[in-house]
Formats: sequence, C-alpha cells, structure tokens
Amino acid sequence: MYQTLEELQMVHEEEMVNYDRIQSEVLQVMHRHGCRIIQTPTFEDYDTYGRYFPGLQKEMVKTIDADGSVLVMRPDVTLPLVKTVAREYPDTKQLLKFGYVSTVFREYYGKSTHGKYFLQSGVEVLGDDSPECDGEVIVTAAEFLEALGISDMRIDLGTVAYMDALFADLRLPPEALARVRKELEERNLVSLRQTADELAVTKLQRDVLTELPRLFGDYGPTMRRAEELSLNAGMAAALERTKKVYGYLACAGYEDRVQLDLGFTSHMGYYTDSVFKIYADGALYSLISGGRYDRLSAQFHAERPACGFGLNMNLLYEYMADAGMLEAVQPSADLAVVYDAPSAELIRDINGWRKDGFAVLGVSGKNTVSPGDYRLMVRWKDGAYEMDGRKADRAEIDARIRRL
Amino acid sequence: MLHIALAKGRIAKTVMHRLADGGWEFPEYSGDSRKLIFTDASGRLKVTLVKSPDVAVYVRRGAADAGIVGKDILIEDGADDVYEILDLGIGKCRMAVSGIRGQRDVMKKRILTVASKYPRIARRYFARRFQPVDIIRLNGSVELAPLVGLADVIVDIVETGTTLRENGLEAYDEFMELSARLICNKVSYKMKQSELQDFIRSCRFEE
Repeated sequence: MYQTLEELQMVHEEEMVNYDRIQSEVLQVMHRHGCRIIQTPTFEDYDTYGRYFPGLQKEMVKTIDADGSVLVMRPDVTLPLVKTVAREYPDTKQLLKFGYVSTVFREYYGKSTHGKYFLQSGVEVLGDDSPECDGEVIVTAAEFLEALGISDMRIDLGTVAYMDALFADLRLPPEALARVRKELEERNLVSLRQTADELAVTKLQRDVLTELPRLFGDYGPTMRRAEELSLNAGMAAALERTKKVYGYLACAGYEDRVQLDLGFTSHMGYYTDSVFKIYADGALYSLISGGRYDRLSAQFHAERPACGFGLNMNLLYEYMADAGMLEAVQPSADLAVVYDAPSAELIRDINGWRKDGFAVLGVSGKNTVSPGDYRLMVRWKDGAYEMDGRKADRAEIDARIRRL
Repeated sequence: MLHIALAKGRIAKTVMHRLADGGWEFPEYSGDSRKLIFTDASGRLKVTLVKSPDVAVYVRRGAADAGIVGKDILIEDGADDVYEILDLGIGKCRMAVSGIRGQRDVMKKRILTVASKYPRIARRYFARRFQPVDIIRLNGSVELAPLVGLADVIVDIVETGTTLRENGLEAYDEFMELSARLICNKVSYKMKQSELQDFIRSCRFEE
C-alpha cells in the first residue's frame, strides 16, 4: 500500500511559477552585487558536519552511500563553500562574493507550513573583515526582500563580540559558561537569573549578564544603555564596530528600519561579530538571518574572514501568500482544440500554431479539459472548426488567438 | 494587540482573576463558558484558552504572542524555540514519585512499573538513579494505577497531597518544584515588548 509521507508533497504549477519569479528576483540582486552563483554538492560527509555542527546531528537527513559510508543531504551551504574556497583560492586577501539558491535539508516551521527541507538563497562574502562589508551584506539581504515588494521590514542588528568580551572577563568554568550561553540563547530569563546568582562574579557583572537578553530596542537608546553597561575594552570595541555597521546602513537609507539587539548569541560559536535578522512586517519568524563568522575558515587551514546570510524561501513564500503578494496561475494553453476524430489537417494546424509560438492543447473528445487550462476553445468536427458555436476557418481562429 | 494563550483549567482561572483585578474587562468571559477566545473591552488584549500541551505550539508558531502554562508541561513536551521569560509564582506544585502508603520498599524492586502522565520526566528521573523501569503512559486518574496493581508507583504532580491521602497513597520523593511560566514567541518578544511589560505589570506578576 502507498503511504503518503508527511511534509513531502509535490510542488504545483502556481508554486513553480511564483518560486521561479522569487528566485529570478533574488538572483538579479546577487548579480548587481557582483556575486558568483554556485551550488554545493547535494551530499556531504556526515562526520564533517558532526564535528562543526554537533547540534545539527539529529536534525540532519542521513543516507547510506553504495560503499556503506554515511552521508548527509546538504544541511547548509556555508560550510562546504568555505571548505572548498580554502582549498581552491589560496590568496586569503582576495575578495570573493558568492550567491546561491539551493534546497537545504533541515526542518523548518512557519505559521501554517512545516517541512523537512526548504529552498534557501543567500550570499557569502569572503576575504573582507571590515564593518562596511557587514553593512553591504545586510543591505544585500534587505534588497532581496525589496526586490519582491516587501519594504515593511525590520532589521535587528547585534554583535556577539560584546557578549563574548563580557565572558572573557567572567572566567567561568566551561560547564557554567555552556549553561549561561544556552540560557541566553533561549532567553530563558527565569533560569538565567537563578544561574547568575550561583556564579562567582561581581554584582555588576551579574547585573550586566542578566540584562543582556533584554538589551534590545531602538538604536539610539539601546546603544547608550549598552555603553553604560560596557565593562571592558573588548565590549567597548564591539560597540564601536557596530556603530560603523550602523553608519553604513544609515548611508544606504535603512536607518529607520534598524533596531539594535545585543542579546543575540553566537550559535555554537559560529558567529564571531555582527549578527542580524530581518523580519517582514506581520510575520512571527525571521525570514533572513546572518552574520560574521571569521573563525570557520581557519578550521580548514586558511585564515579568512567571512560574512553572509541565508533566506528561507519557503517561509518567504508563506509570508507572500498570506499577504496576497503571489501571482495567480495563468491558463497553461492559449488554445484548446477538442476533436472527435483526428485528421491530417488538424494535426498540421495544431503543430503550425505551436510553431507560431502559441500554447496549444489537443484534446480528444473522450477526455475532459478544465476551463482554467485554456483561454480559447474550438471544436474540430466533421472536417471543420467550430468557434463560439458556429463554423470558423483557420484564419478566424488565428486572428482571435493573436488578440488574446 | 497582545494575544495570550492560556492553559485551560486552574491556570486560566487564576490568570483571568488577576486580569480582572488588574483592570482588564472581558465582557464575554465567565468561568464556565464554553467560549475559547476573548477580547478585552479596550481591544488591547486577546486571550485564547487551549489545552496545556498546546500552549507552546501556539506560541512557537506565532498563533499567539505569549502563553501561560505549567513548567511540568514545558519539561515534558519540550518548549523549543520559545522564550521562557517569567516564573509567575502561581499554580505552585511538586513532581513526585508516589505509591501505596507504607510500602516504600517497592522502590527497591529490580524492575519498577511506573504509571504517569509524564513519561519523559519519569524516565529521566529513574535513568538518573540507574533504575530499570517499565513506564505506562496514562491520561488521567493516575492514582488508580497502584491501587489496582497496574503499576508499583506513579509519577505525578502533588499540590496539597489530598488526592494521594484520600486514595491511600503517599509521596515517596518530591523531586521537582513547579509553577506556571510566561513563555513568549521569539519575534513577539521584541516586537511587542512594551505591551508585554504592560501585561506583566497589570497582572502584578513580579519581574
């Protein structure tokens, strides 16, 4: 018996059309920013991912190769890209910009959609460690949404360097640090306060630590608050760098859409500096998330700064569907010719129309055809055409479909 | 408008009381109504009543901005991808291993049969003690299980202990303090921070 697997379903025509349009819009933005478009392999080595993203191990889709080795289906794009670049581009100062649109095999949840994989688009810029590079990456991300008509968005900008500089001072034992990081990541204010009370830190450090999850809001006031709470040179430097990123965004015209959030965590130590998320107005999940990850490439024996982001296009699709921003399906054919008995003349005509560039459905009288599938229907009966219930010749039909 | 999902039952009743005391008016709400969605008279707050294991689902998917539910449910069912922002200090109780009064030695059995509405919490508790167990998942009236010989012990919440006493049971080990928590959707936490703070203040939940 057939079993229908949950969350696995065919992509229908209207979705294909809209995904196509979304994809071509984001590809154009990538081109304008001078990105090279790439695709990483569909399969990756399980152990490589297990090492760099142990948190993903359960979630990844595993498969067994012909030789018995365990492979995973592309859980992300960044890791294989950085790995390949480390090998193929020895000059670590070279500016490299890559863009991609690929299926990524990870679970995702929207408001009413849920799946085991999604289409992701994104950009990775390697070789440039400047705050201006972060600004440009964020602008590219915002342009993805703008190209699709979404201008009501909110950009949450933060830096994990601020939090990391605080941790450097606290000198927590590894287990305590891991616990605090987890509580910050989950913004579990309840247990963070309990944990903080048990740590061997000063009262001031404790207060700053428990304030972190709430250190977000409008740029100006939040930045001032963060400066007051800054306890060392590392924290101050992180804020100075963030100001430069913000400066870039302001110049590019995004000032009023940027909010500051210093509660962002580094996600298993992956992010090293700027991090950001972009939300579309009305959606209760972020569409885009990204940041700077300067230490990843060193794992592949090439010190190379990098910054990038990913957009979940399935969530974007759900958002656009809810907001009524998708295009309705057009009929797949211009002309449907319904016939009882075929003839040489009919076959020549149908193929002739197709050569002229029209989409034509030949429908045997034994079949049915949905009215939404064509713009004009004619009948072929007893060696002649019928259009609108009366006889018509080929020239009349030609004239009509040209006007459609 | 802030949309809050409340766990039906004791928690919902307590919170609705607090809201009324805090000046929120819900013209359509009464304790025994079958209606599930209420909007306050000023149109600033919407409350939905859902089964407790569903609160985190509503919040995670953004069908509600925030939710109030017992910590027992959050631990048992997991609460990934939501923020737990406040211990409300209401609905306080303990998770306990209980069994027939005076028969505590049953805990020394080689394989213990455990009945519970909380199979995950129960499994974790006994795993930490390296105690092999056979867990039977029940959906209610768990106290019955030891009485009819279905299980040796139960793992369940204890509030006053009255139910246990009346059924000839006692708590062998109270191992987890529980109370109601305010959880929040990750995006709503930022987008609706001021509404959220207003709500917390008006219910006199202390932060």
